[in-house]
Amino acid sequence: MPFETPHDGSGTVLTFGGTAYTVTSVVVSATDPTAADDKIAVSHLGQTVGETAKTLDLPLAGAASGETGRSVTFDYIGKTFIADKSTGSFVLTIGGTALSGVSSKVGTVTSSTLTLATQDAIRGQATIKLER
Amino acid sequence: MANYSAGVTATWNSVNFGEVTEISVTHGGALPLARASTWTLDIGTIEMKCLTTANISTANYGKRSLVTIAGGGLAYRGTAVLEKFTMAGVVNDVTRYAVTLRVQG
Repeated sequence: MPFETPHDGSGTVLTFGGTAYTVTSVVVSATDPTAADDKIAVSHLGQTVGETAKTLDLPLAGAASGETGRSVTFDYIGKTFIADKSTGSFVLTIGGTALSGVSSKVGTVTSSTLTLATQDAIRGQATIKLER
Repeated sequence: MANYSAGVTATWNSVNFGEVTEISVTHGGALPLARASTWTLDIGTIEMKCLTTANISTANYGKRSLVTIAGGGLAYRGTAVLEKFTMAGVVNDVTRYAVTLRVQG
């Protein structure tokens, strides 16, 4: 008997630059690019056992990396080659609902491959950096 | 049982070294010169790394005074001369100081 599996990825539609892709896999990544975990350790021998280790923030701010921390990597079937550096609006809907945080964002392709192989469909993969 | 290197205080010339991150005490450095004595030209060296300037200045160079180290399994008391100090500034880091005391008995 069929039963509802609400957390599967069926019914997912990925659109980039107005083109809907026949996707077989989608990985959405979100990382805070400003999260700096570098600290200067300034603990000293005068501290007692159990005391919190002392740290100081780095005196210099990190250079802007241009990273947004948001990206999507997806595999698709089709002949379309997605050129690197191409930009467009990205939309990912799951079961008819747009995935917030990444949908309706402008994306830029950072890497793309298209694979043609004997006895297989033409398959591609692309990674898109999304604006925050 | 092992001792944690914590709760350590180090003084010289009646002033606490500040935010000491490392202490190394070497007592003895050369064989006693007399058969029935411990007298030697090199009794030992104390090296300390700190994050603040207490006791670390040109004014203290060559000064001879009492050094005491206590806490964290470190216990030392003697007289020592401030032989050398260094200050090091490193980009994107804190300034670090180091001092070498030469034990004199």
